[in-house]
Formats: sequence, C-alpha cells, structure tokens
Amino acid sequence: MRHSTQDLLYVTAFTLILCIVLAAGCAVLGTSPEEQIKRGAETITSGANLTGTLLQRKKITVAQAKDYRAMMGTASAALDTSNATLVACRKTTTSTQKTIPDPCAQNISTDVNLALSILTQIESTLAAKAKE
Amino acid sequence: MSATAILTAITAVTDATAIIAALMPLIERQTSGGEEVTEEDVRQALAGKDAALKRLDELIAQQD
Repeated sequence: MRHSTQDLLYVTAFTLILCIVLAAGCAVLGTSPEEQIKRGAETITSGANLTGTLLQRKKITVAQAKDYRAMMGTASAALDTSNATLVACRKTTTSTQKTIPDPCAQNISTDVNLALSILTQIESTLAAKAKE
Repeated sequence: MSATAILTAITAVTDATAIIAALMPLIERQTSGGEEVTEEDVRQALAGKDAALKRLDELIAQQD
C-alpha cells in the first residue's frame, strides 16, 4: 500500500499535535496538587527555620526577618486555602490523585503557583544570606 | 530507500521518543502508588509549617 505525501503530512501533523497535547497534559498531571501543597509547606518550614537561624547569627536584621515572615505568611495562607479547596473538591468529585484528568488540579494551581513563586524567591534570598 | 521513506522513519522514531518522554511523568504518577501523598501527609506538612512560623514569631519577638 502506497501513501501519498499529503497522507504522510497529515499523519505527522496529527502525531505532533498529539505529542504537544500529551506533554501539556502530563506537565499538569506529573505532580499531584497534594504533592505541590506538601512541598510548599515543607519549603515554608525550612525557610522559617533558616530565617530564625540567620536572625540568631545576626546575618539578617529583625526588620528583614519580619519581611520574610510576612512573605512566608502570605504563601502559608495561600497553601491553607488551596488545601481547603482541594479537600472539598476531592469530596465533591470523589476524585483521587490518580483520577485522569484530575478535576481538582486546575482549581488550586493558581494559588499554589503563587505561593511557590514567593517561596522560591525567599529561598534563594535566604540561601544567599546564609553564604555571606 | 527513498527520501520519503527515510523521512517517515525519522519522524516515526522522533515522535515515538517524544510520546514516551511526554508519558513518563504520567506513568510515574500512576505507578508510584506507594509514594502517594495522603491527606494526612499534607495536613502534617501544613501543621509543621505553622509550628515553624510560630517559632520564628517567638524568636523575632525576643530580638525585637
């Protein structure tokens, strides 16, 4: 059976689109909302501990510690809200982390991403202070 | 082997690699049943961060 060039182009285009959709879907599905929230909470824990250590060693001032505390507080509140939303969503939809597509992932991703971006900035700032 | 056949073969290999690479996170998530993060794990992590923030508040208050 012979295929025309146009057929091959259609097959190639379809396969590429499928790959893009799969990659985008897997990027979202790769880490569950529960895992993201847990990771964010653990980052705050280590960030708060490091801030305390740096304050005790006089590597940061009280004012700086308060600033970091305020930022971590914002991220903390976002994670708490996200988890409450997630728990409610899991009950409503009777979904789990293995449900595909995950109906709860989109609901919490904005808040969690905001929290994680704040934490990433704090983490890098604190790490730089620790090296000073 | 014609140019079209070579192109088709290259495309098939490239696409298969891309599909496998794209599927890996999903496969890992589906097969990592033992490492699933439970609601309790999340609750404990959230409680841990609250405790750490409270300790930091106390330390800041001491030094303020």
